[in-house]
Amino acid sequence: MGALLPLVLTNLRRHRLRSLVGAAGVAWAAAFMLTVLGLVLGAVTMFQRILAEETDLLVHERGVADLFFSSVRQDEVSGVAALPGVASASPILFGIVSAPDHPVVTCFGLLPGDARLDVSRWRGGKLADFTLGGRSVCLGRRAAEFLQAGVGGEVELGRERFKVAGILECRNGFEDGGVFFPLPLAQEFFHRDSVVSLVSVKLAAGASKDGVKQLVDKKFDRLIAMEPREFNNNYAQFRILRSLAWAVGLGAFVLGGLGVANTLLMSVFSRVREIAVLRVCGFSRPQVAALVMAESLILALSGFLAGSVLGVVLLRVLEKLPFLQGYVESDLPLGAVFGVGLVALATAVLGAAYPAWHASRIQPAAALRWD
Amino acid sequence: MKPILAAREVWKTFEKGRVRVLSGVSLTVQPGQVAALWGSSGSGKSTLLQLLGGLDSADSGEIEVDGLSPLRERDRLRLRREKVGFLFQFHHLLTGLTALENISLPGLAIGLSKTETLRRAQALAEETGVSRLLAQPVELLSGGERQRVALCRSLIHQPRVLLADEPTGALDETSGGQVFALFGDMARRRGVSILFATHERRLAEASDRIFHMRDGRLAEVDSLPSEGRVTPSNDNQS
Repeated sequence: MGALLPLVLTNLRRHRLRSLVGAAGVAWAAAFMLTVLGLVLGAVTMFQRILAEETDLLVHERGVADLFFSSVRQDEVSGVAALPGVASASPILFGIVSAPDHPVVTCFGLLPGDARLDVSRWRGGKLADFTLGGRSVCLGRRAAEFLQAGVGGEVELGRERFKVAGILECRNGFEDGGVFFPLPLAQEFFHRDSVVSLVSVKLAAGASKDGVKQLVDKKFDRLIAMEPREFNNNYAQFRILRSLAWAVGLGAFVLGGLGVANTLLMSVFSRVREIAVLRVCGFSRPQVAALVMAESLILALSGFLAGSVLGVVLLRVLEKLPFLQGYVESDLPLGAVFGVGLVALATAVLGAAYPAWHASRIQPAAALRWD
Repeated sequence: MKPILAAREVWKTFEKGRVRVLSGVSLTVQPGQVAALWGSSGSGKSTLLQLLGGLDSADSGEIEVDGLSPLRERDRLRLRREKVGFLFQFHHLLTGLTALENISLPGLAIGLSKTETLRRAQALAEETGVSRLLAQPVELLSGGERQRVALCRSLIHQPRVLLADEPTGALDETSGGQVFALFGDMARRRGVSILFATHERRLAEASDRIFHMRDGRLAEVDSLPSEGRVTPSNDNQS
């Protein structure tokens, strides 16, 4: 097959525009799929980091598909905190609220001593201003920007106005674009009296994760404890998001594949006599099919490479767009890039299957009969 | 001596039997012979050459080229790769490729090494006088030069038989005569037998043997009928 490569390349070169259109279809599909995957996986990773911060185990209501609907009662939080081996149990309440011109603002109800507040860099105000009984909130740096609020000022969230006690620069895009409420205030605001979404558990030195998980299972029928890694693999929302990203990307590749098939079909139809000449010159049917298949693979490979570059550039641009409020933090693991490469390869093979078969069935005598 | 090329009672129809093109054609060509297939357009010359060269299969009858009967697809492929070379009226070179790349195509198909392909191509190009044109794209060559390149391509895999379909039909009289003389010389030097279709009287008469084809029937003749040249035509449906 290697010996035929110059012939394959020559043919692609002879029909530059057609080859470019075919490769562009794959490139766009690859860029689109990588962008969607990068965004979704980035969002999932950001959310995972929020959950995994200073956390050995996550405890939440069993059987809920979405953490926003999980309810862990105050007595259960206290019960978890009292379990042997548990060093600390930090309750967190998640909520979403709208602000003027910003339909979605993520909110976190936390206790003042929460590790998330400790590790963030305070750009205005101080940790001591975040008090349990207060009616002030703290903003992430990006949230302060898009809500145009400063320390000492007010911010409108839902139908209420809150005083801004501090501004934090968080490592995580979601948190940096979020609002931090003292837990009791969040429970009141979101009408979730005495409940939280989950408990972030830090274990004492030497404590067994499995042991604590079993204790949670045994003592709390409604709750389940998971390590962050387990949670990531099992959380339905993450799975739905990942599946959706792949499905949307695959859809783009179906279109890209049709483009490749169309390009190759046109190429074969316009070269019937050439292919007949190749057969006269001793090319076998598999060799003719391999020529078409190789053209497709080269188109797909070049499209994939160009698409990968385009995808990364698009993600970088999206990360910088102000109106995305810093929520975009792409994450493109090598596995995902490899997966998109495999999809591009499959697209090439499937897209070229019929054109290659058709080319291999061209009868030289019939094709050359009409000169 | 055993013929290098033999056809016995070969029949061929098209359009599900409605159009009969060959009606029990038989012929033999001995090793080293140059034989002309003379006849008007539509008489069945091209179809017979295609069957003999394994480009198509006969409805019935027997064909044998250097001991190989092209009954199955793989035998027909072997025939094209090892036994026969083709030369067409309209050279059928691939545009966008250089003369050397065109000449090398059969070498690619049969897996000839680059070095050997280049050696053979250069030798053939030297003999046909196109060695200085090897790096040129074929679309820049004249008609005569293109046909010489096509001749090199038809011989690079060292076939035993050269089948030529109106090889000079697209050339003017001078170029045609030169190309005809050239491919006759080259084939003789290489011990290649030639069967060529033509409607040109002078080319047929310069051959060792003449087969007269008419309405799908073939007969060997010592000399051509006196009515002269058959009306030339570019319609190559036969």
